Amino acid sequence: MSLLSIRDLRVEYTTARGTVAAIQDLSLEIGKGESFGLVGESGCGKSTLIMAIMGYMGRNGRVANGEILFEGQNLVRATAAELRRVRGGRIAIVYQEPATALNPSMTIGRQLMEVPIAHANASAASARGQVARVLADVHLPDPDSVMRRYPHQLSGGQKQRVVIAMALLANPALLLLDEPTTGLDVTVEAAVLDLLNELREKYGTALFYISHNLGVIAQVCDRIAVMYAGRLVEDAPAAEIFATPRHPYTRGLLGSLPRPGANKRTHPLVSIPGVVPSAGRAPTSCGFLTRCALAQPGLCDVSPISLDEIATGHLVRCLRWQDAAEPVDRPTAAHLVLADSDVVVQARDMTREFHVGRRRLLANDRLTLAAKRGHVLAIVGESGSGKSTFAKVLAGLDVATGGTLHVLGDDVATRPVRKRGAEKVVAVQMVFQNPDGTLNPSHPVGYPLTRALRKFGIATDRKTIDARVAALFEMVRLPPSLRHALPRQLSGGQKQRIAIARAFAGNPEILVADEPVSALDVSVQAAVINLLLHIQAEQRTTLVFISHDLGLVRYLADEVVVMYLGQVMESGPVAALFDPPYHPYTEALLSAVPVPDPMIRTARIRLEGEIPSPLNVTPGCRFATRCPRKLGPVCDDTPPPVRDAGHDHLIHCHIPLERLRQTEPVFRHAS
Amino acid sequence: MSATVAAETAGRATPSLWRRLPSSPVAMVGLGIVVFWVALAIAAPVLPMPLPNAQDYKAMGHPFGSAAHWLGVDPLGRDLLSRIVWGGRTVLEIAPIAVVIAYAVGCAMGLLAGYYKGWVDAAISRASDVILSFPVVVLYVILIANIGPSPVNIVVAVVLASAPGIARIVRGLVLSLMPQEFVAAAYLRRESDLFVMLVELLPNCRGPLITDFCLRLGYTTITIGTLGFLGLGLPPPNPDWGGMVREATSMITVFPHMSLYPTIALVSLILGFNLLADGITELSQAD
Amino acid sequence: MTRYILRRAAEMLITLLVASFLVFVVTEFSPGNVARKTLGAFALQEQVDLLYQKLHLNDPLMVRYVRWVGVLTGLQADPLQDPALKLDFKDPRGDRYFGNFGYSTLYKAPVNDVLWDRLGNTALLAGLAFAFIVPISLLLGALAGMNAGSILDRILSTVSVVMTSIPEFALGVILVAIFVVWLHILPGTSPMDTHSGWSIAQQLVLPVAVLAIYDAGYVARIVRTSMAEVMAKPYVRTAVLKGLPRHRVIISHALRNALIAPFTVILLQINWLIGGVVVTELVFAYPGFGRMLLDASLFGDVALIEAATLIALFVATTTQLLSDVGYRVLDPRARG
Repeated sequence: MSLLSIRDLRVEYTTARGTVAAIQDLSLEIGKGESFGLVGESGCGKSTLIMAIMGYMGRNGRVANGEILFEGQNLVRATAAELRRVRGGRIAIVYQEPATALNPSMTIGRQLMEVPIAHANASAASARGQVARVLADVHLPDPDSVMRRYPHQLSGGQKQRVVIAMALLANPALLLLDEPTTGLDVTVEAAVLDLLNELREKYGTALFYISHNLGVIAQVCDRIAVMYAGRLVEDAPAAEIFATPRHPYTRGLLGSLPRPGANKRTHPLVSIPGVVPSAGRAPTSCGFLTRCALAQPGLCDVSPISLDEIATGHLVRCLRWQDAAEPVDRPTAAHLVLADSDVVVQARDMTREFHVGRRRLLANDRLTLAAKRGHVLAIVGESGSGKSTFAKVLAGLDVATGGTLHVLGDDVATRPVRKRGAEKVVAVQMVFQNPDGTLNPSHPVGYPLTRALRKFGIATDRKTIDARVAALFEMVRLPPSLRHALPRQLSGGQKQRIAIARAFAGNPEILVADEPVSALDVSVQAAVINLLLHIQAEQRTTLVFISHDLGLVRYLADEVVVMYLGQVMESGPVAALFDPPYHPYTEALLSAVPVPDPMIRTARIRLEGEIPSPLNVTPGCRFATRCPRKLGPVCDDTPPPVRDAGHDHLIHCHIPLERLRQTEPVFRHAS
Repeated sequence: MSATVAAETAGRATPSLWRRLPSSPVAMVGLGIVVFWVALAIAAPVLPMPLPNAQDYKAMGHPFGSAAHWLGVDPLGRDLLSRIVWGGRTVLEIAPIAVVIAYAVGCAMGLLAGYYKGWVDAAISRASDVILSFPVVVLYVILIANIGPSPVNIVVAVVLASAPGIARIVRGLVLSLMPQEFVAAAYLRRESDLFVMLVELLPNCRGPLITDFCLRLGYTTITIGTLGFLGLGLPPPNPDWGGMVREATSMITVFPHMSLYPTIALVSLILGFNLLADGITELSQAD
Repeated sequence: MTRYILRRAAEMLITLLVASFLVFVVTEFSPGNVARKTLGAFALQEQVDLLYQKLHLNDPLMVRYVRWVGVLTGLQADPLQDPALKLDFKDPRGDRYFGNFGYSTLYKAPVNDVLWDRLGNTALLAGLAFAFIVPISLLLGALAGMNAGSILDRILSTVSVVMTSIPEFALGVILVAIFVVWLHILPGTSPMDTHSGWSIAQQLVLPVAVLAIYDAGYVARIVRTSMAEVMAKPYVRTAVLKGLPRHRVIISHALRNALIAPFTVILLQINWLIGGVVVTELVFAYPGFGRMLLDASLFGDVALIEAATLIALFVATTTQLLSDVGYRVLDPRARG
């Protein structure tokens, strides 16, 4: 018997523009103790589904049709009192942003104690005992002190553990997880996922896991459903989804992710054209119609398509799923294989020091790295690694406080944009992370391009400028008519294209891209990455690519630098970096990456604790406090030597190369 | 390579605030009241009514109203309707001028403080704190009592009292805008400080400032009325709502209409500005 | 925390000094005026000239300000009390004591004799008003904010916007027209003596109502906004989806957070009330501090203006300090 059974659900919202169906014709079953994953991009209705289950849709939302049966009870018709018993008691939620999900002015202890008091009529003393026990279960050290603290006194990972503890307190039958690790660093995310798997076994709770990240879902779920534009498009056992995806959208999603071992030369990413439609604006027949390569007029656009079982336990909502069974044809690689070329960016012992009160913070500590003309240099690291600080110094938006940074021959370490000559500024341009912040909301999207062309002296008369702007729009595959639109009329992916066009307006020699796709939907990421690499290769631009995503870095980089708390841990050609010898931090980082393929097993190395504050650093190796292979006091006291593993592969570690070479590779194919 | 991205846009274009105004009943009522007074003020010279300072001694026989004086006359036999219409004209001239100048000064202060931070910010913020530490009415009373009541001095006083508050808002907005990437992008185009402040930052302060502008028009109308009532408004015999109330309060038990009519006029205009501000806030939150 | 309070107190003192200097500049900018104002319109020019010299009025403003502070703190004798001037300004406290605000030319008495009774009256008025403002605005605002978008919210919000759209003097006129002229149940003036036959309590009703209504509307709007914002916060959703009953969600999760921001605003209303009393006291002929300040300003009573504004500034900056400290106590995030 299933625990949760949703049938023909339709959820509508009334807005100023009329009624919008956020969820349509949705049916699914979750069994006792099962782990069910729901994948979808932003706006597909997955969070709405969670709130509909909880009966929490706000003033303007309602269940227009269907039923939500939980333990035999139809939650759609439940009274307020019945809902209260279910909420937090039988079904609990782990929220996406633990920082905002906790009450900032109440101690952790009191917030948690409310659960047993409300659901089990527990006395304060017994509630306190239960809370302490569950806090220990989620591996929070010193539960008593945690209970006395306020949310802002905990780190992001700790807060998420508190939220998980809160959800488990009433021992619910079903746990709804709404992107619980989004926004956490990879190593912290890996630990939270481990915890969820552990707790699931211990408490026997069923999981309903919602995420846009196929890699994360692959690690936790037995069965996976894919949601698009308010409807389920595919529902199958986890292994099957990854091995034989049937819906064109599922296939597109998988194709747009870099798989382990793939790179831009052998396996270019496949992107899904178009943009994710906003709620209620997708075609009624097949929501994916306008973006689907297989869409057939007269067949797909006639009437709503049903979700059919095509194999045992494998449901697909597509009339042409059989045609979608062909292997994904990957476009041919257009990337040049570059010969060794001259170095255009060279940092030597570059340091950026901040002062926080009386303490110093070394955002970049004696950074040494180089980028070659026309190559892609990726800088990887988690939050606090100082990768963005380096990007800013390189672009001239910040200045170094020590060392040198040679760009095209001149030391610009202490020269901000204002003090660099026009030529240098034009030569180094930047694409930023946040698509919403990258364009001025008050001006049409063509404006930064026109302005750049004029300021760089590339064109002065209107006609030439118009022609150049049109050419730049063509280059980023946007219709030039869009130049008069305001940023709020564009999707995130379109904004990033404009940002790329702006950066290339002056034909820069070096492009700094700071997490340019991390804020975009998965299906859009691939297109932007492909575009960026295409232009970069064509113009032989040096690309300095800042990212936290190792999968992506492995895919697109020529050289990689791994940073941790302001220092370089390891650097080298991409091929060398992903195989032993590893720096212990790189090894942990690789182990933490959620791989979107259940068939690939990663060697599991987990880091204890979280990234420490960059204010309290030891004179030795920055990673020493968390290093699973720490040798002893030498790691804390002495800066690590740089070990040369050949071919520019440098490892900053006290452990001798021979021992590092003996490490097992992180990725293995399960046979 | 991917196909050309379709021209269709993901997010729908939100029409400008002005065009969405009709969808807020609150804003429309407010706008209606304000437009009513503006229209009367503009039409004042051509309306068929006595001049505001013309005294009609015969009318004092029927102070409550007659065919010649719809709303009656004041203690000096002057037509109340005419004085109210002309009084509205005065308020609607002084208040917007004062608020616009206050905005120019306040925006400049806020932009400089938020943009340059450091000692510029410290100097501007401390100076604002000093002004803001005065109870507003006390500030007006001391100032006007010493520099003398006149339209120019009222404008000066309003600017002095309002600019620091506006500066504080703009400074906050600028501080939140500065870390945005489009500002960095402007630096990478080698734009000047002035350009960044005026073209990149200021237009994005628009939203919150429009509401504040309407509210401030309301406050300033209150201020002008209050100053008139305290005897610090326009020198007589200029028609001035606050002054009209002042002149008539001593007779409120006999001729309540003489003080009530200008009071109602004043309250309605303030209400108009406040409702407009409320409506705009509501619309901007609905996004 | 102690360090924070000390730092803020020091800042407050500096603000007070600068602000009082500004007042000094405005009132004593033209030195000839000061002598003339002190002696009155009918004084002979020789007398004015003598006083001008005696007070060293051609010294720079800064020097005269320091001298004024000297008299105020009792470090210097009040030059006006010098018998040689034949002004007959006498202060039983002597001419040199801490808190010497000088001599009021309007009331022909030492400022300290004039000031404190009226301040007491005003404190009573403002205190009563404050006692009404807080509960009324919290109730209106919280009810509207927790039902944001509902009919109740619309009604309460309209009531508050109307309340804040009526300036004190206009409200005074309207209330007098209703309760005095029409219904005859309350007095139109509040001289705070019982000669007129109305009790003190009856005399206080309208002035308190005028002060309270305008301000309560304003604060209610702030509380509503804050409450509506908090109700939309994810942590309120967390509380609901924990299975807590609605009243627990409202009381222990929403209200507690929703009142942090308005707390500052509520305390700052004391600052606003000081201004409000000027108007209200004029409307009702109430013998208070506000009307005294107005009369002094119109008359040109330099010493009294300076004394009164200094006190107003002191009250204003103290409440500012209190609100800053209170904010840090209320919001654990600000405590650090």
